[in-house]
Amino acid sequence: MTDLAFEAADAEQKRPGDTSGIGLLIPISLLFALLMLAALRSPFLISASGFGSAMIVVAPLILATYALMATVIAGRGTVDLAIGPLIGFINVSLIQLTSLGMSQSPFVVFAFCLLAGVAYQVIMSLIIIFVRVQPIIVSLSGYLALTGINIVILPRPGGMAPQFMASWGFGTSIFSPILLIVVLATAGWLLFKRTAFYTHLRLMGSDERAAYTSGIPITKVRIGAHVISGIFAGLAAICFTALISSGDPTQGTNYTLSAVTALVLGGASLAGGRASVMGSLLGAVNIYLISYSLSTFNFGTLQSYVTQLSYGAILVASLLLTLALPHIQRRIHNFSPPLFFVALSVLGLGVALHAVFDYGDLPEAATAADAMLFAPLAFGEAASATGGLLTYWLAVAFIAITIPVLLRMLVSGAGRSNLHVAVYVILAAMILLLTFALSNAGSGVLSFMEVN
Amino acid sequence: MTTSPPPSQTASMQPVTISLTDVKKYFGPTRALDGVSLEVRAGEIHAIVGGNGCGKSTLAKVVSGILPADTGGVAIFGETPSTPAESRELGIASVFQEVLVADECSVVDNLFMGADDLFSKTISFEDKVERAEKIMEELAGECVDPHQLVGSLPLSLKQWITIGRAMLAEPKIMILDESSAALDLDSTQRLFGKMREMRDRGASLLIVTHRIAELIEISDKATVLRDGRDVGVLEKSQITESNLLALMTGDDPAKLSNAGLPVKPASARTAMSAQGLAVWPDVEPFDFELLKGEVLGVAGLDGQGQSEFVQVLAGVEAPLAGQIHVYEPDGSKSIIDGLSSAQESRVAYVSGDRKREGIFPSLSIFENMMMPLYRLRSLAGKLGIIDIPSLQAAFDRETENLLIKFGEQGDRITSLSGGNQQKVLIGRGFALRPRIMILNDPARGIDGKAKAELHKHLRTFASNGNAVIYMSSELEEFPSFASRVLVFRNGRVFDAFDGDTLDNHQVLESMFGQTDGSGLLFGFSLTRSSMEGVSGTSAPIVQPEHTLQEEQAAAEHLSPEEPDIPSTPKPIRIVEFGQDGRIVSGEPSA
Repeated sequence: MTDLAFEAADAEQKRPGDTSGIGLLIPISLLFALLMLAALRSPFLISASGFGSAMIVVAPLILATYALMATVIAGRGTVDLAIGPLIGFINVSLIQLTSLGMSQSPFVVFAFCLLAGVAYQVIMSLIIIFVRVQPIIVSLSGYLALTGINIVILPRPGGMAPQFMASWGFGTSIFSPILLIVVLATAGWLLFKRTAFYTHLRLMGSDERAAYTSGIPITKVRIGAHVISGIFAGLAAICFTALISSGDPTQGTNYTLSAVTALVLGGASLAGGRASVMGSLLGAVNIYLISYSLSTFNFGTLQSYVTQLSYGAILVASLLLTLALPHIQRRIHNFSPPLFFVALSVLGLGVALHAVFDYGDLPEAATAADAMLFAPLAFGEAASATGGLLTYWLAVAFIAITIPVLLRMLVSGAGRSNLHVAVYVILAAMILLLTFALSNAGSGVLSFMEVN
Repeated sequence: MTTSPPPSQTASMQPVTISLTDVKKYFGPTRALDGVSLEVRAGEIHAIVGGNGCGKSTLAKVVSGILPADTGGVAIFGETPSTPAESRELGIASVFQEVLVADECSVVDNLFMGADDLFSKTISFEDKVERAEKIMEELAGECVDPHQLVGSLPLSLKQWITIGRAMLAEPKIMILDESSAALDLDSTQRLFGKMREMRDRGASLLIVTHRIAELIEISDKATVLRDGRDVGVLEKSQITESNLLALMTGDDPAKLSNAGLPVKPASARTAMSAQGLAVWPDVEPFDFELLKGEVLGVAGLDGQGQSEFVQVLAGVEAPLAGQIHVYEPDGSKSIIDGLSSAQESRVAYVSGDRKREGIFPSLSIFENMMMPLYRLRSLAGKLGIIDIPSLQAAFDRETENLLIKFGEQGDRITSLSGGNQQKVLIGRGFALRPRIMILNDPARGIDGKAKAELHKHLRTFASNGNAVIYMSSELEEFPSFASRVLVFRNGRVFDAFDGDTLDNHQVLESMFGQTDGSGLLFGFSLTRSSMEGVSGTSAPIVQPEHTLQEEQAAAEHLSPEEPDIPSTPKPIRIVEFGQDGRIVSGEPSA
């Protein structure tokens, strides 16, 4: 393709007013900012167990956000406030049934959780559709009812999670069954996006009258949205049970506010029709990183207030930035979101390296941390025997492979105004591999872990 | 226009596709349909015509299965669809009055809305994109990125999407309810071409429209509704404006067609003026002058700046350049730079886009009309208690004046038909007791009778020394109503026409840029008789280099008496003034 053709394609795709692709810029930027802050404040995060425990803690939130996403797309302002108590409800009923002698096989546990979630959501959807109560009122009633029912089922925290889940909550490595659940859920949603049903869901959420008059069976589509939401709620409850390894009637309730915040932070429109799985994922991870970063500061008794204050402040700030984004984009014409993303990730990796790299192993490195990044050859000769340097070379080799791949993608996708999924995948893999290299070879990180 | 055989001969042999017998549909006490029978055959473009609130849209909804009929028989290919999904199965596609698109979704998703089964796609996505590109280019006449979000498109493209959606379904019956409302003339012709194509393929088309000129051109048969009943069926040859109006109103057509002469400014006092006004960037600014007692028509093809112009004059939008002055009765000037200064200068604005710029759908009729008066007529000073009795008097007066039909004044405004809603909004404007009334296409979706009433009102209003600026997308509104018509093209005034000798063909030509803009030289190309009546009494102050300010100069010559006007429209005369102000030459333009 000639340059001219490239330019033509560029001009065609970057139409004024088309801001669909840049909606994720704010959550992505926030993610990297928070990652850098977290890595600098507590390098433990950038390690196998750091990622592992982060994964365990964030998984229920991610899945709860997905559950909200399915119904919020369906429109009518269906923000399911009851998601938190629903997670709690499935958790406590699972624990009680287990203690009453229900089979502990994974199949039965999964089937119970998913069915419970789906059953609740279908009942809610039938009330919304046939009784024609506003969804927000239905979900508020659900919230109040389930909060009470949870305490009736299990008055105090306690009980034991099913046996097979016992090891899930350790969080020593990121490769846990929890990760598998999240990956499958995300991949499932991405596949779902390609179905006709998803198109119907979005059309209905964006304009229900248009969808109805065009012959889309909106009743079925709405029930379907709730079924999907119920499945994700069930998965969230499983992850939550694995996280606390017991039953807790009240803790699940906290997920409502966090999940709604994460959803909005991820760029979903509460009016319906627009929400993205990547946005929700990023939103949930951002919420986790905010509370993680803040936990490294010592606010004493004010801790929870400061955390909630920050949720609110960051949510408002990011919404304002999203509003300002089209104006900024109009000023800066040659702005490429993928390039911005890659630049941010390189910066993030640099900070992460800086945070976890044990300079003590390198006699000369201690005095010239920056030079290390720019003159690797000199360092290689100076301290080739140390393990830390091995890690360093591994990272360099990895970057040397991935950067050309990324550049290739940047060139091919230069005209796109949105981000390609492959960019996320490659960068996620990059971060993961780096972590492994560090946790296996970096003795400093290991000793840090022992201290903790 | 097409080479198809005359449908009136072939259609009678074609099978009946839609058959309605004595269909009734009530909404509470309102009788939307009160016994309508209708028969549509294959290969026929059938128009449904009628006044506001006569049940046209309800009829379209009953046929498309959105509203079930209360009683009576609905048979479409022998079946009665009760949901849009069922009617789609039968091969019915509908385009409704509202532009129903999903703003958050892409063009291609919107075009193929409803085409897929619940879980499986009937057409592959690549195919859809290709077909979407093709049909949008055919219909809209421009390339539209199929992946673009519909929310970022202009209204006319959204309208095309709803039409394209119906056409992509390849229906056997297509229902178009006021679907050319957001389209300009050129687009309407393209739509008609498409409709004829479909008819020639054997589809039945049911169109609901207020635009009589359009339906005369396109329809093969017309059913006229009045007050929820069908009052007559006209064959192709019988479809004429007078026949239609006679059936629609139940009145003698002559009464409506000859509504009288346009109002003439009684004196040359200026009501409003603008210097160096620009409403589009990079367009040469222009001057503008409005006289007291004038009804100024504003026309132009869609999106040529006329809508921005009236919004700027009303203070809704700020002008890009220039200043707008309003002349108070005591002769002092005040500047309009926003809505509050417009209100102080008693300039009222009525928008034709009821849904977005007009009504508060969840409030009552009374509240909708009296809302701007709440603050102006509040009791108890700063406490601002609403003065219900005085508002009630104003409400009663306006509803009586405008003949607004409503049940209870506390009913929601959405319980009224579109035309009555518009009347409420116009009543809102009148209730402010304005000196200048600016209307932005107020006749959108209003029937001929209501339009005639509205014109009568505005004429009375103008003849009391007030001024009216009336933007319309329907040229038929201007003759015998507007005292002057400005035509907009490319963001500025392109030509002007005198109301007395208004010829719609010329206005149309001008909209397409086919005139020389000579009307601008003399805002009123006065007839000889009126010119002679005044030529000796007032000194002319024409300065040819100020080409755009001559409107005022020409207006100095107005006679206080009604000029005698020939009853048939005359071609515009190009009048030139010599140094002493006498007419030097005056040849009719070609």
